[in-house]
Amino acid sequence: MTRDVAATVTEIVAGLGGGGSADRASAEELLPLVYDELRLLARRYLNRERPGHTLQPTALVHEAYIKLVDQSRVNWQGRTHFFAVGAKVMRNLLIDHARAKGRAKRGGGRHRVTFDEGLTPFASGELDVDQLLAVNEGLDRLAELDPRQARVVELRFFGGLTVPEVALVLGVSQRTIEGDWTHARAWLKRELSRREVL
Amino acid sequence: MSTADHVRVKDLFLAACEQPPEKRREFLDAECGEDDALRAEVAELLEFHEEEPKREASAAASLLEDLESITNYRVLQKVGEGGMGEVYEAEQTEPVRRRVALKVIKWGMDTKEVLARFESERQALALMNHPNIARVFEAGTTDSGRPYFAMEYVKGVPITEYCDTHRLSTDERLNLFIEVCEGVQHAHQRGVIHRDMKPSNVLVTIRDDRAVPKIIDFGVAKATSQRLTERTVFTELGQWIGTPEYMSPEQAEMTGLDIDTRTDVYSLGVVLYELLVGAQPFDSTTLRKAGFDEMRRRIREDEPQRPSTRVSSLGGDSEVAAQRRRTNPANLARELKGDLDWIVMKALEKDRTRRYSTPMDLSEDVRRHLRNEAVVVSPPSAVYRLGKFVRRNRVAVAAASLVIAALILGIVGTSIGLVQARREAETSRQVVRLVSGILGGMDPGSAYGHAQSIDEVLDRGVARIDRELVRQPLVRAHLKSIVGRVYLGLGEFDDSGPLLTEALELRLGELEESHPDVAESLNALGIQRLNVGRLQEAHDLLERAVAAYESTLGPEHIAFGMALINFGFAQDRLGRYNDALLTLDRARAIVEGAEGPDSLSAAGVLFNQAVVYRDLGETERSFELSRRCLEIRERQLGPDHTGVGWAVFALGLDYGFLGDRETASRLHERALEIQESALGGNSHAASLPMWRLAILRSADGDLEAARALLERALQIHQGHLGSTNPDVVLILRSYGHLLHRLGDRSAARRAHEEGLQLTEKIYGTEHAEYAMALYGMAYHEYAVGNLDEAWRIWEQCRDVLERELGPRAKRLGSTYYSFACLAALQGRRAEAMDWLRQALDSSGWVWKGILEDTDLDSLRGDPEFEAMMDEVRGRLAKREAVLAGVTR
Repeated sequence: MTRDVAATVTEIVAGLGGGGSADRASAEELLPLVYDELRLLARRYLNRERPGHTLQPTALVHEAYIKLVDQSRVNWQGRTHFFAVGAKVMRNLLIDHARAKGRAKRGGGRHRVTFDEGLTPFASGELDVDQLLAVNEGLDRLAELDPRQARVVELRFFGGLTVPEVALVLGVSQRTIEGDWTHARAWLKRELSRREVL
Repeated sequence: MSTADHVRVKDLFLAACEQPPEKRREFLDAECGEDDALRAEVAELLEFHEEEPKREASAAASLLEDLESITNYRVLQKVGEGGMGEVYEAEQTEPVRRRVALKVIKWGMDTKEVLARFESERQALALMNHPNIARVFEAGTTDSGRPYFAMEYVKGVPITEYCDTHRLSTDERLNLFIEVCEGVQHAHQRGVIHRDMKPSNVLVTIRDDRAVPKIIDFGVAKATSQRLTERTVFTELGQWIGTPEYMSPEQAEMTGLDIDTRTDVYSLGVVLYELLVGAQPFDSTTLRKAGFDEMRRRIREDEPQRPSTRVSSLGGDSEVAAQRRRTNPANLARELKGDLDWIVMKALEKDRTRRYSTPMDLSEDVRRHLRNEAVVVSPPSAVYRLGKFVRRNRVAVAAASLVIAALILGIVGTSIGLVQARREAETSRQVVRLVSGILGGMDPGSAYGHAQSIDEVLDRGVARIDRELVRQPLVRAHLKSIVGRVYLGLGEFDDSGPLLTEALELRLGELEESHPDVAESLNALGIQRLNVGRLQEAHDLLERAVAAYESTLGPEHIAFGMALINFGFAQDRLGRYNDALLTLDRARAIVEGAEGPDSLSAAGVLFNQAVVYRDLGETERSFELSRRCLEIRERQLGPDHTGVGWAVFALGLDYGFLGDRETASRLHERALEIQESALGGNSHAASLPMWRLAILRSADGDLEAARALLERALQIHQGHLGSTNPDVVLILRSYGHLLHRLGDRSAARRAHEEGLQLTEKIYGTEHAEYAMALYGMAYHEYAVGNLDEAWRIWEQCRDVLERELGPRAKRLGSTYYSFACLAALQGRRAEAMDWLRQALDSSGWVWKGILEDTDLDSLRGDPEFEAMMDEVRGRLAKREAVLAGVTR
């Protein structure tokens, strides 16, 4: 089973290239496959979670990548697209999880998520459930104003993509991405400060 | 705010960012003009934007100042910088004057999380007091809140460099290494994991004319930098802060979990490797050039060369390495071969449970070696090397088989050299022992799996056996037997046949018929024949196996008991039910005597006893047996084993026959799930639950689901299995009935005809199974309205069953009942009553549907008939009581 999924995923990823609309369509096909894998990984992870350990979304995407993709057949563009899909999935999974946790028990310090330092709007790379949900809501609001900008944040934040990688996925110049990113960070910080979760 | 506003703010914000900070406000004034709202918005964003850089800038400026604030230290110079912190050489003035190394956490790293860990670490560090660990004198916080450590300032060089420049011999190196282990052990006892053990963190300093290794960087690594490392690794490929060459496989996993003290044992192993060989297990240049993923893969999967092998393969460097150890390459390799190879390789195990569990255990073995005592570690056996192979290739369940192939290719290959060097008999025994030891658990019943590549690899293995073991017929036979049995376990009956036949022939050429190896071959081939529908042949082979075991091993030996189980099953398949029961009773006594009533072997007897009773229609008895069988297997094998899948399936059959369709359905679903994941969706074992599920679905009216299941099952038998497995006739029969219900009469007839032909081919005409095929055919005629033709075929069916099972056998009930229905439909009421009576007289036979069967409507109301219906109700109640007894 796994082998078939992996073969399919590799097939798709290997076919991805410079990021045209055809690529975006193919990348869409990855979504359910990657979703299943990541959900499994995340569940496995969360089940054995112990105090002091935190979930690292980019690490999970990486693990899924290693499991699903035959790397000898894939170039960096394919890899990037995979990670872009992974970012989207991780965001969904994390938010679902955070909501479930939030419902179950408020403020439990155990359930924290670690992001790449410097990519979060917070001082620390570790976010608790409330902060995570706040970021998510902030992103939703940002998406209403500027969908691309929200996507840039999603890709960097949940997928750990670099600026050139985001530029490839979204098909715009690096400079534009940098602008989006710089502004979005300030914007998000302000949003979150208004909600007093910073 | 609208999208347009947002974009406007963004553009202006970015434009402002291009300006130097001090000119930004001015710039905004000019750009915004009257639009105060816009200006306020952008200004606010700029504040948030500027927040961070501002802090970083101030951090840099106050660095030195901040350090000086630790009043009793005088900072002399910066001596190092890592990802997390910086190290300064400083002079402490109070309470004593001494040189210290002052390690300060970098700005920006003082997040809440880091600080919390730092604090908890501090206590552990305070406890550390060991000559091989750089002492931590003090840990605290600077005035501005930056944490720091003051440590013993070690003036020394990395241990590898020290050993090389001083040309230390292997033994001298080992003595130093033991001290390093002791230091790490000390830390572990205090709950501190170093996690970055490497030569540059072990400095050798001279104390009282003696070289003393000192571990530096302790605790800080755990307190802080490890997490950062993990993060950074994921951020950008180029910035690997950790040290891949010394990183344990579990660290390379990078899931951020589960790093324990054994990670240090691994790193110590790398250090030892380097001390002994002069090179790292994984060549640094290639490792780093490999790229991120490849690098991690190698650390997690690649087996490093043994030190002795490596040292001889370094080319010109071998000479250098040897000189640095005051010896020559040949002697160095000899020194390393054996103990030291094993010790190092054990420390470098990928699976940490295979490693030395503590640095102390590692150093103890090194000591033993120095004292020329036997070391605790034994050479990594092929068994667990293969085990690791399995773990790494968990993809599908194919692993088990690949192992065998790899083994045959590998071990046979290496053993050839031995053949020439030693006595052949001895060698043969060795090979046989080795191979069977490894494959012992892979006989049918425990080795399963399915993947395309297996065949290929196994084939190559077989070819190699033939080529390279020409003059060792028994070894060849043994290997073929193993591969054959593996195929059998995989359900690849066609592939296993020739191998098992050859094995048998080879053995018969060399050994007596009564030899246990011959018996093993007879037994395995017998099972194979059962599965390809060559029943009589199977019976004869198994009978010989039984006789051979009994004469050589005696009537109480477990192997004899196990052979009896198979023989009993063969008798059952041939329709000799009473003989089968006797054989199985005997098997049960032996097996329970040898291994106890709760053993897996005993479960095997129960399973087959249930088969026979089921064939006799004695469902209540088979039900009991199936339950006990499942209980034992579940307990001993866990929930996912194919043996459990079979037991679940068997129990599902019994539930179905007892009328509990719901439970039956649940059990068959579970059986199917188990077999699909254990053996794959194309296995014989999966086809049977499919078949039963189809019958249940069809009874519930879901004909399409039933069709899909049956077609899949048939596809397995007719497309995948090759030879004709006897069970295909069951599926064909159900398929025929289903096609009829779907309205395709001609296809239904074809299915029944095909089933009948196959049944005759497999079982012959004098067999209950042939009668059942006739029954299916007759039922078809009845269903399409050819009542006379149906009657005629049912008569044939009855004759066979009466001959095979005796006139009052329970399984005849359905046939007699059919006559009753036909007679009733044709208006012969008295005759119908007689047939019904005869049906009920068939050893407790009953069928739930009688009570509502419209065929019998003309009889209803008749007192004699109603009396019989009461009897039916009584029997049904009794049957339900059996099930109720279980739920209670």
